[in-house]
Amino acid sequence: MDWQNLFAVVLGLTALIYVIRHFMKQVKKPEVDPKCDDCPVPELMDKKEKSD
Amino acid sequence: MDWIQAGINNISVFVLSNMSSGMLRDILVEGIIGGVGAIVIFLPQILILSFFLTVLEDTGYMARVAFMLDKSMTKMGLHGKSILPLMSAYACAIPGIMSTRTIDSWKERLVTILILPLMSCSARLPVYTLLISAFIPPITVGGYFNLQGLTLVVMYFLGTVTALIMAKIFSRFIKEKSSSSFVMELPPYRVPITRSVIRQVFIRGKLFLVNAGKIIMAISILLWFLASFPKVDSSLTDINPIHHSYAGKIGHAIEPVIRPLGFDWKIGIGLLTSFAAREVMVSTMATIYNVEDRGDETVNLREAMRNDVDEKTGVPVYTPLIALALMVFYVFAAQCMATFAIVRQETNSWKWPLFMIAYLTILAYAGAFIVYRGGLLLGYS
Repeated sequence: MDWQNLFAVVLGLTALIYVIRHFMKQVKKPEVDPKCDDCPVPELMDKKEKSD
Repeated sequence: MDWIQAGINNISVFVLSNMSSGMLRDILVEGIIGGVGAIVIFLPQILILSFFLTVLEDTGYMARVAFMLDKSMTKMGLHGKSILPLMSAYACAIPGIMSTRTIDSWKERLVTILILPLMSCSARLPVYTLLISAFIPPITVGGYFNLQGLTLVVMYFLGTVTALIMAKIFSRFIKEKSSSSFVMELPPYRVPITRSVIRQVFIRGKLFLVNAGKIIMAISILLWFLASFPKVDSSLTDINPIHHSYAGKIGHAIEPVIRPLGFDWKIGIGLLTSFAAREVMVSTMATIYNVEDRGDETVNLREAMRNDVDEKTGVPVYTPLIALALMVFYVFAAQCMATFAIVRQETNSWKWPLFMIAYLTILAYAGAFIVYRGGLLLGYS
């Protein structure tokens, strides 16, 4: 196998792993907009008030 | 756009002339440069959209829009505060869905979340721009309006109007006893700070190029393999070998489902890869055409789609009517995995994201079918 084919296969496998991980990550833990990290969540606030 | 296209062509010519022929060179030229390059072309449009959204946010106008539209929004089953997520969703649905947390009523919040993917996000812009520039003639209609610009506005308008109609329908079926009031502090009008605007535009441009770019590149590489293997001796077949590739086989398997909409197997592959991000559709088409062409330069996707003809019948594969049907499909289609994941997180249930996928898919299929079949009945092609 010449060096170009070898690099191409490695590149292909890396891309495959990246795509699989990308989908898994999106399903498990979606990206959070940094602006909304501290947004008030009404239901959670209600629960907190009730528990207090 | 032309100078970016020229730059991409120069890069591919440079690689072709400085690397010996082989699989890696083909991946670089046909997969990475062809696929990613097809998306980079749309960076100026994304930056312009981000600029105007940032200016609207920074002037304090958005808060006033929320206040002014509260009455109209309430009539549609929404809340005045829904306007902020709806406007954010023109950039991306995910921050829009996150920002619905400021809506106190669960019903109004849920209805807002359910309709947010109908707002045309910036990821759809490359798809619209590609199809409009390739198939909609740049003529003036009504003495004032450029048909290409008008088509783009109609796509945004179609999504927005449908979103409001769906909100009205959903609010009738989702029950909640309590009602919410609208209390909001209006910030004073202010002149946007140039540095802040530039920073925001830079961040959004970077998100488009880097975040979306990584997955676009990875999918372009995978697609290159799927479109290039198994190798078929072109002298033994009268059609392009890409039809015998894995991508060709997958595409042809999907084709019967999408054929009633006028879509062919290449679009079918594009619809599948769009689940990673909608703009991947453009890079997918570019990679397929580059592998099919096997030329010395990166193909111009617009030209390639315009000139694509059926190898057996000689009939054009894509027409303005098909382009219009495809755009309508993209206005409605449920194609963003990240959006459904965030809806699952925000609603704490799989019920709502699954419902969202179902209703958006039905809407997209029906919309594209009506446009394509209706157009054919009216004598358009």
